[in-house]
Amino acid sequence: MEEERHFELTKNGKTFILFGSLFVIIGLAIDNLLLIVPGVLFLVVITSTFISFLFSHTYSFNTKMSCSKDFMRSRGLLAVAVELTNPSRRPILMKISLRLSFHFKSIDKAETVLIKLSPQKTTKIVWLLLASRRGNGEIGPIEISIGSFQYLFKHKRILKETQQIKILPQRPRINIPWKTKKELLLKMVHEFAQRVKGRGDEFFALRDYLPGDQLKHIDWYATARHDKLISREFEDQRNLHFLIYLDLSSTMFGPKFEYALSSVIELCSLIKGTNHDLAVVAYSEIVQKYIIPQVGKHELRLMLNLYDIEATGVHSSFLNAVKFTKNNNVLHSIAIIFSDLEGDLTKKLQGLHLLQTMGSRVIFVNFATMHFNILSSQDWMLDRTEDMNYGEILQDVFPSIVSDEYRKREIELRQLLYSIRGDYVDIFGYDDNIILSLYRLMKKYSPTQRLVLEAVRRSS
Amino acid sequence: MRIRDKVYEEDWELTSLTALGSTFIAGAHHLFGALAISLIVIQSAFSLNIYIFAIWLMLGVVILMTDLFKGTQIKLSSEVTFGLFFIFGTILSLLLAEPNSMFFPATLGRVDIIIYQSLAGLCIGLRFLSTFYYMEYFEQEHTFVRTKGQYTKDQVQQYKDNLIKTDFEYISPEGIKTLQKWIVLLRRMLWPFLLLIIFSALAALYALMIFYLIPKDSLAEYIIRPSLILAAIIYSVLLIRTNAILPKIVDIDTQADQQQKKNSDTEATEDEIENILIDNTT
Repeated sequence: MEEERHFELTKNGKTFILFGSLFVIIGLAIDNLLLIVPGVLFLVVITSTFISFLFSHTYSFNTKMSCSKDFMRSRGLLAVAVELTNPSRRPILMKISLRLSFHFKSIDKAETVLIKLSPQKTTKIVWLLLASRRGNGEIGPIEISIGSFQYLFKHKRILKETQQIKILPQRPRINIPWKTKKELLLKMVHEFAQRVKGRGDEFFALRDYLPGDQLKHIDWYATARHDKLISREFEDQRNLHFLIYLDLSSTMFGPKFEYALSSVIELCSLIKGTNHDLAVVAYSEIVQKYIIPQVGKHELRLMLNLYDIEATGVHSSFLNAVKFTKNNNVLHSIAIIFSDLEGDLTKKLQGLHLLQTMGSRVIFVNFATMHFNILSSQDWMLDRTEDMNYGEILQDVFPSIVSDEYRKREIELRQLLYSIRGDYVDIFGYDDNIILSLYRLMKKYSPTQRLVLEAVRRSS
Repeated sequence: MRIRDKVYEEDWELTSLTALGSTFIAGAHHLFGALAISLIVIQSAFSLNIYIFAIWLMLGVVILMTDLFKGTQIKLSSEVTFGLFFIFGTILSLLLAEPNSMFFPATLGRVDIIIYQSLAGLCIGLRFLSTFYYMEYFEQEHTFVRTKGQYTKDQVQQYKDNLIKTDFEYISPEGIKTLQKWIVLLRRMLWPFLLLIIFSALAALYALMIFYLIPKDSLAEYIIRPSLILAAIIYSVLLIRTNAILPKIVDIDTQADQQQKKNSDTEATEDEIENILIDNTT
């Protein structure tokens, strides 16, 4: 294993050498044992570190580190084993510390362990770790300190080997039955699929014969009826395109983004099982990532690619993302936008009309900070404030400042979406689920619901 | 608060390890400091010099207060200030010295002075030693998470049980007892003590040689001490030079290891991916 050895006198060590000589010299000069005794002790201690270095710098031992998993879920457990073999004939007393990235926490045992290696034997130490955060975790390097008083004289061996461990987010808490998911997908496809003429088997419409049309496409019955040549048009046979836009701007940063990302992944896993096409566009000012999740061998790697996304942008420009998709010729799609209504709203909504001209249906999914921020949720604060006046203030003032602004923005967005036949979905905090909210949305389009709505409109 | 965070807090508890010896050592550390300072204060009271007594009393109060406020937080830097206080007090009492003062006392006998001062010096030395000991064994952040809820307790136990007879079988290594740590520490200090004794004996021998060469009445008092001072200076220079000779960082990287690393970088097989998928579903 790659190894790095450190041995040097630290700043503290140098200070204590100076202290020792100063104490001894002054003490001898003024005949004062008060200073001589500690001074001599300092020198003894420092010398002991040098001597222990001289004895132990030739020690060699074999180490081996192994982890039980390479990929894991957040809040999952992981075991790390470190094997140490002492080939020499002397027992070695040493301190081992396992360096962990912030994703991990050790369970029931400190990361630093003091052990005695008996001669010509293998000792194994096992750490149980808890993954407390998603991301790319790292285990290692291992630091072994031999000899006493490491603060005065650093005598360390750093085993440089590190192990990368990918920590995926937690599993979603709500388990939605497959039947519901299927129903939702069917409804979405049924309602949003754009019928586009082209080459296919399904009948689309009739139109006047134009020179160049194939003879077999002429509808002779219609021709007889109208007394002029009329030909048939057919529906293009193509898969439905689902386009998921994920906003990476700074307003999305934080736990909200984590939730948005896990929602995207949930939706992806729902769609990619079918024969519809799917693409994820992660954008900030420009398109950061364009991912096409696939079924099969590369599925996992692509999904892992998705988990790597972080909200690192400053401002997002939706127009650029839409232009990107237009350049890639992804027309007639169902565009689902995961974003929020904060920051520069015009920049966030600028590309919506372009999407409509591309023949796409738009669903805007709003992750409002109101539902995701701890401080802005009233119940959370009220539970914990003993001072009721503050709570009352919060109840009276806070919503009027922020909620009103939010409502204004929401109305603006709704108007825009109405003009382009888009839909609006709100995610109400962590308890809400993207699939359920889409299901709720699709109810609006169900025939019975439509009848009810029409009846209500007529009566009013 | 997010629900999952709430769940996390219900399940896991962040704890920091406090060894039984740590509070004991911290207590001993403060006790030795207080003993040293009280010995000096008593000695300065016997010297019958009000200024020196007042200075040492004030320094004593300051040191005691800082110790009390810091509690179990022992740091090397605070020890340095502790030492500087002593040098400062000594210099002040030297400046204010009269025939009746601390360092040329008529009221105290020679043996009394030696006993008082060596005892106080020993206390200071022990205090420093306990600091080093504390830094060595207790100072690190020993933080880890402990299972709190029944669910997580079961989960961890189950995980441990599943690891039995694998490469990751959970073994808690044998801890080293406090007494054993002290023994190791003291045994390591045996050699340097011998070294120092040899060094100072040589210095004394050299001084005695000069003492017999030069007529007794001239510089008798002023030979042995300067030679010891010289020895101390040479010794500390020697230590620092030794440090300069040592290489600070050494990289050891063999070819065989590199090859192993290359082998381990190969892509994940399909079986592994399957395993991962199974892991994710469970």
